[in-house]
Amino acid sequence: MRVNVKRSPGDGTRRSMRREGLVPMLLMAPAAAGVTLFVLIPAVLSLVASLFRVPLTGGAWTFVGLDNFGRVLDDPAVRQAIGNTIVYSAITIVPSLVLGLGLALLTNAAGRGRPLVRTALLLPMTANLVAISVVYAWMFSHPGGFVNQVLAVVGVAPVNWLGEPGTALYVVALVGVWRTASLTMLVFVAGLATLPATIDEAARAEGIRGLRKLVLITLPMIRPTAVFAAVLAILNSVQVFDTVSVMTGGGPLGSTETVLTMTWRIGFGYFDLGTASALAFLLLVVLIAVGVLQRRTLSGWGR
Amino acid sequence: MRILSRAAVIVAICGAVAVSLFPFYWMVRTSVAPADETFSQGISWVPTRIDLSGYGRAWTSGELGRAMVVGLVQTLGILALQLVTCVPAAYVLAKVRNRATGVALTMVLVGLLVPSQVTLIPLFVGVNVLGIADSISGLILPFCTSTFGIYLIRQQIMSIPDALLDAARADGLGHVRRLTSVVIPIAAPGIAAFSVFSVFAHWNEYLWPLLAVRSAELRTPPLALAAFQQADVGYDYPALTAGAVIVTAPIVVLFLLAQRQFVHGMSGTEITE
Amino acid sequence: MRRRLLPALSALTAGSLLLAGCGPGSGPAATQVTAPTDVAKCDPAKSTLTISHQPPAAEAVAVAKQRMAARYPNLKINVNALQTKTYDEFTRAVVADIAVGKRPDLIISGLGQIRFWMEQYKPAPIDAAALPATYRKQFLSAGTLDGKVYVAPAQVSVPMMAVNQTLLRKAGAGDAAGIRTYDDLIAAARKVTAMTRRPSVTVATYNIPDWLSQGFVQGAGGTFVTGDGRPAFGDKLGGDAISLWSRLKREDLELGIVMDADSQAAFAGGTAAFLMTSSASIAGLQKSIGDSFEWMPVDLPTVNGQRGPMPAGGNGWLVLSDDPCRAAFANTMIGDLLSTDGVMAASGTSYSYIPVDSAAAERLLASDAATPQTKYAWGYDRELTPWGGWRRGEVTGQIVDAFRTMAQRLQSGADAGPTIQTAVRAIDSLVSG
Repeated sequence: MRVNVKRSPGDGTRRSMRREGLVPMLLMAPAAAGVTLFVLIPAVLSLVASLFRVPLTGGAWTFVGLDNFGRVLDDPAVRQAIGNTIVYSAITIVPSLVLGLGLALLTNAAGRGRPLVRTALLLPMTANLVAISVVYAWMFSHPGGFVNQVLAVVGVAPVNWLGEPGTALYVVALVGVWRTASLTMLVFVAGLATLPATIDEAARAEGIRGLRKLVLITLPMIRPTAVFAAVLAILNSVQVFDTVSVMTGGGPLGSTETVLTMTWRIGFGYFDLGTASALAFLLLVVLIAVGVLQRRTLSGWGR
Repeated sequence: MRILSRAAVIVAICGAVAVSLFPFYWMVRTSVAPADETFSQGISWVPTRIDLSGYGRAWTSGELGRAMVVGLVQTLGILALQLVTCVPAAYVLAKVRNRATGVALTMVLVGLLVPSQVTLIPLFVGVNVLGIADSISGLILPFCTSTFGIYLIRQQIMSIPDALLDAARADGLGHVRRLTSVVIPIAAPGIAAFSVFSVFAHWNEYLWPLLAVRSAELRTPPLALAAFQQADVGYDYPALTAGAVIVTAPIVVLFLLAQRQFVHGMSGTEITE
Repeated sequence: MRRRLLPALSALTAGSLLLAGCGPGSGPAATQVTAPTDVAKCDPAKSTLTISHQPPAAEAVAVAKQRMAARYPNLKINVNALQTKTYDEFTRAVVADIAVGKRPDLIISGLGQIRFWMEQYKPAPIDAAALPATYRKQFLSAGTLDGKVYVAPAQVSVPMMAVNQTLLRKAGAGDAAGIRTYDDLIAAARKVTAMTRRPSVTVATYNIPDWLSQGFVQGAGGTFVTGDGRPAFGDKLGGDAISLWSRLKREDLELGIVMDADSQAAFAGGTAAFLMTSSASIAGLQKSIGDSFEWMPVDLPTVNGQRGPMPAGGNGWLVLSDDPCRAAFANTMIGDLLSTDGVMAASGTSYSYIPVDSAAAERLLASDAATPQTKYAWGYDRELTPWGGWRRGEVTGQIVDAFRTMAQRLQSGADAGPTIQTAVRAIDSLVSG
C-alpha cells in the first residue's frame, strides 16, 4: 500500500517536456472525452434532470424546480427505502470491516497454508453477485432450503426468511457481509504487508502482544488502509442493488427496498425519470461527501 | 498456552474458510443432484448420484451459451477500449505537468467519486440520444474509459525514474515511442492488475445491462441468469444453480490464475493525493 | 484547484443543458395517433410486424402467425415473448422497449392497463368491424374507453375459488357449492384446519391484488371505483369485503403465500383446501391435480352472500404501431388471433380463459376436455364490468403497487380499517395528480 505521496519529477524535466507540445494532449484526448461524456456530464445531468419532469414514456422535459426533491422526501415508500439503506449499511459496514481485518490477521497467522487460505477467503469477492444471490436465495428458501433443513434438525420450525418483512433485509445483508468482508480483507492483507518487520520485533521486545499490539501499534500504522477499506465498504453498502433485485425484488412490503432499487422503481417502474434522478442525486451527494471526507482524513494524517 | 492459542487460530481459520466456501459448495452440489432430490427431507451433503441434466437445461432454456459469448465480447471490448484510453492518459498525467494536465487530473479525481450506478438515468438518456441503446456498443461505450484505471496506472508510471525517460528522449524517442518501449514494459504489472480488475467488474456488472439491453440476444451472463430465474422455471434449482456455476466459473478460474497480480494491484488503490 | 474547478463545472453544466434539450423528449414523438391505412395499399414485403406478448398468449400467437404467413408470405413477423408475470411488469418492459426505439406494433394489454396505453401512447382504436362474425361482441365493453374500442379482449377471466372437495368431506365441512359467504368459508376452513392442523386457505397477493379486491367488493354489490375514476371502496361494505385477508389471518386460516404460482402449487399439492385465483388457471390446476383428489371451482364467496358482477380479468390486443401500414397489418392479425382457431388455442389448452368466440365456446364445451371444472370458465356467461377504471392512466403501476402493499399487509394480519383507509388515501392522491 502506498502511504507516501509521490512527488512529481524534477522541474527541469518538466519544462523541457512541455515544449514537445501537442502529442501529450492527443494521448490524453480519448480518455478526457470518455470521462467528460460518460462520467462528468451524466453527473451534472443527474442534477439537471432532477429539476425537470422527465417522462420515460416520451414527451418534453418540463421545469419543475425542486418539486421532485419534495416528492422524493415526502413519499413514505422512499423514506422506507432510505431507512432500509441506513439499516443495511449499519449492519454490513462494521461487521465487514471487523471481519475483514480479522480474516487478514488470521491469514497472516496461517503459516504454510497461507496462500491456500487467502485464496479461499478471497473467492467471495470475485463471485458474480447475481449467481451468488440465486444460490443464497435457494439456501434460505422456505421449502427445502439448507438453512431450514438445519433448523429442522434441531427441531425449529421452518422460517420464511425472504418472505417475512422482519427477516428479509437481514438475509440480504448477510450476503453483503459475506462478500464485502472478503473485499476488505484483501485491502487489509495488502496494508499489513507494508508494515516493516522491525515493528514486530520492537513490539515483541517491549512485550506488547495480542489485542494490545493490534490497538496500540498495528491499527494506527495501517490507518490509511483502514480508511480505504471503510470507504469501499460504505460504497458497496450504500449502493446495494444486485442482491436485492435478485433475492427479493424489494419486497416483502418494501422491507428490502433500497435507495438504488427505489431509483430503479421510480424511473423504470413508474416512468418518472426526473424524480428518480432527484433520488439518485441525493445518493451522489452522499457518495461525494464520503470521498471528500476520506481525503480530508488521509491528508490530515499524511503530512 | 501457546498450543492452545495456535489451536484456536486453526479452528478460526477452518471456520472462516468453511463459511466463505460453503455457498460455492452448495451451488455445485445442487447443480449435480437429481431434480427429485432437491426437496428431500433432511440435509443431504452429497447427492446419491450425479445428474448433469441441469447444465443442459440451463445452457439451452436459460440461453446461457449465447450469453457467455455476449459477455466475452462485452468484457474484452471494454477492456481493450479502457487500455487504449487509460494507459496513454495515465502516462501523460504522470509525466507531463502543465495547466491542461492539471485540469485533467482534477477531472479524474472528481470522476473517481462518481460511480456509474448513480448516473444511470442520464447515461440511459445519453445512449438513447447516441442511438446505441440495446446494442453491444451501448453495453461497451459508457465504460470506454475508467477513472480508476487512469489513477491506478498513473500511480505505477510515477514510480518510473525520470532519468530513464530523459535518456530515451536523448535517443530521439518521441512521446509515443517512450510510452510503448519504456513505460509500458515497466508498468506492465500495474496494467495487468487493472485488466483483471476490469474483467471482474464488467463480467459481473448487472445494473447497466439490465437497463441498456432489451433484446434477449444481447443478454449478458448475469442478465440471462436473472431472466432464467424470473421466468417460471418452477423450482428447478438444479438448473438454476447449474446456471450460477456456468456464470461464476470463468471468473473463478481467472482469479485462480491471476490472483497474484490482482492482490498486488489492489495494494496501490487508495487515494492519497 | 478550486479556481480551475469552477469554470470547468459551469462549462459542463452548459453542455449538459444543451444535451438535455435533445433528450428523449425530442426523440420519436410518443404522442401520435396513427390510423391504420387500407391494408390493400400496403406492400407486405416492406413491413416487419413486431408483436410483444406474455406467456398465456403464446399458443394463439402461433396460430395467428401461421394464418398471416399463408395470407402474406412476404410479411416478416417478429414475435417478442416476454417472460413477465404480471400485466404491470409487462407494461414496464414494453415502455422500456419503446424508450430505446423498439416500439412494437401489436401488444397484449392487461384489461386493467388500457387507460395507461391510451393516454401515454395515443394508439388508434381498433377496427371492431374486422373481427370475425362469431366474436362475442359483449366482451368489447371490457376494452372500450371513452366510447372507443382500443383493445379487443382475447383472454377473459373472472376471480373464482377452487375447493378441494375431498378434504372438505374428510373434515365434515360440507359441500363446495354451499359456500356463499365469508362466514360459510370460515366455518368450512376451520373444520379443515382443525383436521390438518395447518392453514387451509390461500389467496395470493402478488399478481392480481387489485383485481381480487375489486371482485370482493363488487361481488358483495359494492362500488369499487366511482364513475369519475376515484376509489370508492373506503366505505363500510368495501372495508368488510376487502378485510377477508386479515380475517382469515387472524384465525390462522390463511397460508400467507404471496406469489400466485406458489399458492396454486399449494392447492394442487393438497396443502390448501381453498384457493382464490383467476378462472384462467383451472386448466393448469386440472392438469397438475389429475385424479389425486376431487375439486370444484365455485363463485367467489362474498361478505353478504350477494352475487354482484365480477371485473373482467385477462387481456386483449392493442395496436400500438406508429406506421399506417404496420397498423393495418396488425389489425388484420387481430382478426386471426381472435378467429375460432385462435380463441381455441387461447382458451382451451394451457389456460382456461372464457372463450371470446361463440363457435370456439361451443366446440370447447363439446370437447373431451370439457370437465365440470373447465366448464366453469368456458360456460361463464354472466355480466362483467371493466377491470379498474381509475382516472389517471399514468399512475396505473403505482395503483397496482398500492393494492399489493395493502393486500400483503392484510395478509400478514394488519388491522383492516386503517390499512384499507391508507390505501384509499394513497390511491386518491395518485389519481388526483
